[in-house]
Amino acid sequence: MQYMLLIYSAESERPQYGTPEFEQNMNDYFAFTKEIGETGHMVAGDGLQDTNTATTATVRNGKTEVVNGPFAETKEQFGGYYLIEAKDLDDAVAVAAKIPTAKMGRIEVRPVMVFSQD
Amino acid sequence: MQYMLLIYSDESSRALFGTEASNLAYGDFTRSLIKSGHMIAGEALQDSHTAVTVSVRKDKIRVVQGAFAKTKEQLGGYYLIEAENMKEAQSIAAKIPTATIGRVEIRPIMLFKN
Repeated sequence: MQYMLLIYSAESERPQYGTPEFEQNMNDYFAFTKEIGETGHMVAGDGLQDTNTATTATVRNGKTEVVNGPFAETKEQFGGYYLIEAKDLDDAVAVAAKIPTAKMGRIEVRPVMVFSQD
Repeated sequence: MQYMLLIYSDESSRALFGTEASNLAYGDFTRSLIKSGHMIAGEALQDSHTAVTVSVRKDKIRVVQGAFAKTKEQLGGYYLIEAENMKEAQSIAAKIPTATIGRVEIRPIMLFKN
């Protein structure tokens, strides 16, 4: 079964670019990604640029409206994801717990909707 | 450039998702995205009541039921697209069926030099 692992953390608490902590975090992510590639869990994954680069679009009465910023101002922001293949929710949770950001942020684990093939 | 289009809507209105009309609308949209060369990936997610949220503190794994935040609108799906720039990504986002009742957040993907 496929699960989305949605990585949330406060942008102000993330390691800052150019610091040793940033370097370590990158290495931790490379190691994690490599590990889940080897275990067969890895399907896809990406980091997202910070929410100051986000815009949010809506369409009402045929008119498109775009505002700067993410859809909601929350304390923690969505920063990246992995799409994984896992046996069940427990397996997905075990993978999520190994994501480096799990130690200072939170990982939402969402089952992907499966559509029957016609 | 790659962008993630995050589809947010009130889950009570989302009950419309999975209906024939919605399936047709999403089918058409996805097909047009593939045809135009913008489509990289996309998934619908099961409702937020099926979610759990995981954190690790002092080496202990904590799992709570539900999504990371109790917002009125919840993430219901996403598309990963290739687009020229943010303006193009926005015009694609505006065509997502749920954009008329929910909101689509557009996020540039971080690029790593390998």
